[in-house]
Amino acid sequence: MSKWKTKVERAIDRLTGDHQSLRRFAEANVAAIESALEGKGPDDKARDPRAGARAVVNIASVHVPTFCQRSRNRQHPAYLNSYDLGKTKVRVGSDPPKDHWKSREIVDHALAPLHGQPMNKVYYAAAELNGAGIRFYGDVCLVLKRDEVPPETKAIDRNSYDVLRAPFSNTVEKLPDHPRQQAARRHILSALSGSFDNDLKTMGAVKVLVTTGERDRRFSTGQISGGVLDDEDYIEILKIGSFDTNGVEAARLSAAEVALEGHVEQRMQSRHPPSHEARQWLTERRAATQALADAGIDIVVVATLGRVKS
Amino acid sequence: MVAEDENPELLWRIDSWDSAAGRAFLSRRLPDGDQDPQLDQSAVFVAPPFFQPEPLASRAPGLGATRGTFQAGLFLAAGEVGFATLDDAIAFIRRGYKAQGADPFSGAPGVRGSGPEGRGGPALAIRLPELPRGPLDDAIAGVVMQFSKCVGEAKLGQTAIRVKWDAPAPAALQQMRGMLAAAGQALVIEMLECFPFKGSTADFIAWSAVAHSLGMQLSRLGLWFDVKDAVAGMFDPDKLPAKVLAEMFALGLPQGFEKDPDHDKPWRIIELLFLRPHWAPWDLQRADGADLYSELGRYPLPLAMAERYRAGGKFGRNDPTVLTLMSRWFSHPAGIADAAVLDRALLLFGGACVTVGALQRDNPAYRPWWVDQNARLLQEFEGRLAQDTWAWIAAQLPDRAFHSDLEQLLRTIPHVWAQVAEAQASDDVKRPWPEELKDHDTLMLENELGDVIADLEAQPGQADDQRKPAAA
Repeated sequence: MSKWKTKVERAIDRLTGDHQSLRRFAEANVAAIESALEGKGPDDKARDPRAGARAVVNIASVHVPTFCQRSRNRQHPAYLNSYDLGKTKVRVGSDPPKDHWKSREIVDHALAPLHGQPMNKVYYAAAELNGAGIRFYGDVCLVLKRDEVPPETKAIDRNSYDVLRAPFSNTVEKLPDHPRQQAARRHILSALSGSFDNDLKTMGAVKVLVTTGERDRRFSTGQISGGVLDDEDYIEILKIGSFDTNGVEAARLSAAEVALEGHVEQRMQSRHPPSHEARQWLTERRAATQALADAGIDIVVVATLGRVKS
Repeated sequence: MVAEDENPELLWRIDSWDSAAGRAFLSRRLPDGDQDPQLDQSAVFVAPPFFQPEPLASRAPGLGATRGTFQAGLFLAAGEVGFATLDDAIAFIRRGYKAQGADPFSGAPGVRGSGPEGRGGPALAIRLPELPRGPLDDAIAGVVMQFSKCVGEAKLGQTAIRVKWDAPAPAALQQMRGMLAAAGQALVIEMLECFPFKGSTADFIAWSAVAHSLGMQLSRLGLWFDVKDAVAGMFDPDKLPAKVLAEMFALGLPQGFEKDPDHDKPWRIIELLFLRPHWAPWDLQRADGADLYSELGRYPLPLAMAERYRAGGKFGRNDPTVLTLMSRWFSHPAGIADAAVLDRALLLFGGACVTVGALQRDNPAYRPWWVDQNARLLQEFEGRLAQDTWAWIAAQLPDRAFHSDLEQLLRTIPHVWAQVAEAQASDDVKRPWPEELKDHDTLMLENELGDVIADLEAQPGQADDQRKPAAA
């Protein structure tokens, strides 16, 4: 039995105890979550290639035209991570003092044995079902094609930075030196990891089950989707290598942000024009969707998490 | 020992920041120092369009963001930057966002070059209008100087100094029409110099979209006739007679133009290039205000002043536009070196383009058809437009002054991001992997953390109870 199968069984044990009826609901819900993440409808046996969990990357509108332009010009990498930006010195202000701000290196280093690649080769993504990704990181959610994410790609059941937070950090810091602490972080992250193809669906089931708690009701697709990626609580995907517009299946926009666009547009028709930055934001959103459309990428507004559509 | 709340180092600091996107994670804390950052404290997230602070349970999402376009922290040579209040920190993020400005656009159209027989382009030899300083310009220059003075007085780590952009006296505002007309004149001249004299039809189509947009803006502002006549009057009929002008601009004129009754008048050529074929009074009431910024983002700044707004040096491929100028002024008005009367006139022009739509929707009497034919209505329109334009511009200018080092950082943002277009793949970062955890440490971890980190992978033949972690 795989690690994640065991984890989901134990989660059910903890949640339902001796209540057999609750156990049956929990088992049925786990099956439903796994089906949804695999891309099967509630009553379907076959996998719908348009549905199921995807790796997504959120990017701010202002960066989308450059991403599309770099893709068009075949500049590699088209999508840039922090190591690429660091090489180009895309940084406002001075560099941090030498010994400051090592947190990213600490986490990336502890993750390295999991994926086996140089740290700079990882392009972080999140697992998403029907939502619009991690909105903090950007208002445009790029949904990667399935073949952009090889089956053996590693997933972590949470933000890997959590290894620097309590309770993990309190325990790790009891170890006396940095090498042992890093070994502990490596161990923790390994325990929280699985493969995109084999484990993600069960990893998602544990996450949704644990965050939702015991219940004698069945989950809706929207509840499953909301549980897989809930605001700042997500499943992290360690994608190896960058991607360009050819690797993007669709771009999703959240209904909340589209409503904001409507609000700014409404202000434009009123006696009190909106602020410069609101107009700038709206213009960037339009430039982004135009660039994506020019690249042949579908744009989907996520109006409800219950939609099984990329 | 200083109580933490009284520690002057306890300030609002940037955990991570995408300065181009205006997105940032902030937390109130001491500098992180050389220890691992403490993530278990609340943080705040802000983003455009409204920059409302949104509380987060931890700093982890912010630090996680540093794997993409967010930079980790903000530092000066003196150390990590801190802001005395959350409002100050958010104002800084907001101004950084505005600094970026016009990058989504492909920039100004056209290629500066000469036309038939080496004429056209710079060889048009039209000099920009002399702009005498007047009371309105003096008033604007005065409030900018006041802002600069506040920048000089602001201190790092202390509350930023609040500033107000007082409205110029009503008498001074009467000068606005002249400044708007001068700005419009400079923009039309620049467009004429950018005309694709030797270009293809496609080049002309790209140019004409911008030219007609500019013509329509000038009409909305009630300036078209003044600007057209002023520019036409700048051609020296001895050096560039209308017939030669018609040959130079033939790509943009109708066939059989020589039969036009006014074919020998330069104003007629300008009219056809900028407005007449698309003159549609019903279109003057803008239906879609969202397009305005993409239009302002394509009006090229006059060459003589463009360089002080160009971002990114060798990476700055886009020519600066009116929107670039507005963005720089709204972000860091004290940092624009050698700003002159025309800079301020173009700022007013951009602001007037924003406010005129609301004014004309508010009352049809302010629309061009009336204003162009009724001097009293025109006067009333000009007064309202001047007031509304200054009120809007004043609301976009910074409401507080930071220390000059921070103001300087705001200036660098467009230059920093201009490099992304040329970014290359990073070099491989290889380090020896962390070692495997020793058994006794594994036991300690499993005792403390339980199932969540236990190695539950079943080995063939391994009993279930052997896989279970030690009881906590």
